[in-house]
Amino acid sequence: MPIYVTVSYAVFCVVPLGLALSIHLRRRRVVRDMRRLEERLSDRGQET
Amino acid sequence: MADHVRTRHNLPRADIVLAALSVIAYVGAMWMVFGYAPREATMGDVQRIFYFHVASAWVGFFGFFVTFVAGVAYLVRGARRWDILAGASAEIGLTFITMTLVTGMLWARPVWGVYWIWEPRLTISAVQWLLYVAYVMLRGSVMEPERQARFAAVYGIVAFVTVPLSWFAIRWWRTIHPIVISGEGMAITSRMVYTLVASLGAFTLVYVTLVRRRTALEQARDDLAALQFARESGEG
Repeated sequence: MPIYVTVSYAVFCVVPLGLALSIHLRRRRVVRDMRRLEERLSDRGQET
Repeated sequence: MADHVRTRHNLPRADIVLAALSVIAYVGAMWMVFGYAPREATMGDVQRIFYFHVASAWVGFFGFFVTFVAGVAYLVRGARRWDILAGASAEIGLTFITMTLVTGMLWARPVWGVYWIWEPRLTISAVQWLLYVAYVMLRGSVMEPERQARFAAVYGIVAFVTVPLSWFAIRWWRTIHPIVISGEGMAITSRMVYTLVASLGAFTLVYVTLVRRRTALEQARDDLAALQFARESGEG
């Protein structure tokens, strides 16, 4: 198979996968921050 | 309360199913490209770039169309979800258009002898790519959320003009870019058509999956911002 075809299909596989992974990781970080914040808020609610 | 966050932001089953279907469709389409579609007589195996190149362009254009529609909907209704959809779709569309440009250059080199020619379709594609890069950057640069959303909506509507321009460029002007789909049908064999249709289907599924996940990310960011606001209000 010509190198141009190989590189093209490598691009077609890696880029969408990379985008999906990037979205997943960004969302995981946001959810983790959110969980931490909610725990802190509920702790403060219990104190008062 | 943390459990509440966990439940609300868990990966929905529909998204898991969609992701699995996307992978199956993608692998299936790739099998068709290399194992089912015939070798093209003039270009040889290099022509196999065509299937995913066109599918990628289709998803890019469709993504920009969704940004256009969501932009109009935001201006009419003012609901945040339309702004989220517009931004998510533009980001995914831009990624696919970038792949189209890169693989187009990789296809052009062995066929035309050069990676790039400033002919109408390619010039419009370059302008379109720059416009949507600016769109994504713009969304991150305006601080006031409502102003940003309104500005982005208008920009998304105006930038969409590049999609019909790109489509008609090879029909209106003299260009080196081939016309595969015309009023007289498709200039390829039936096996090639089936492979192209499978590629289009697979890419559309991937687009839907990615847009759903990208909008979920933005919604989670909104929830986080609301929590931070609640915390700051409590401290104040």
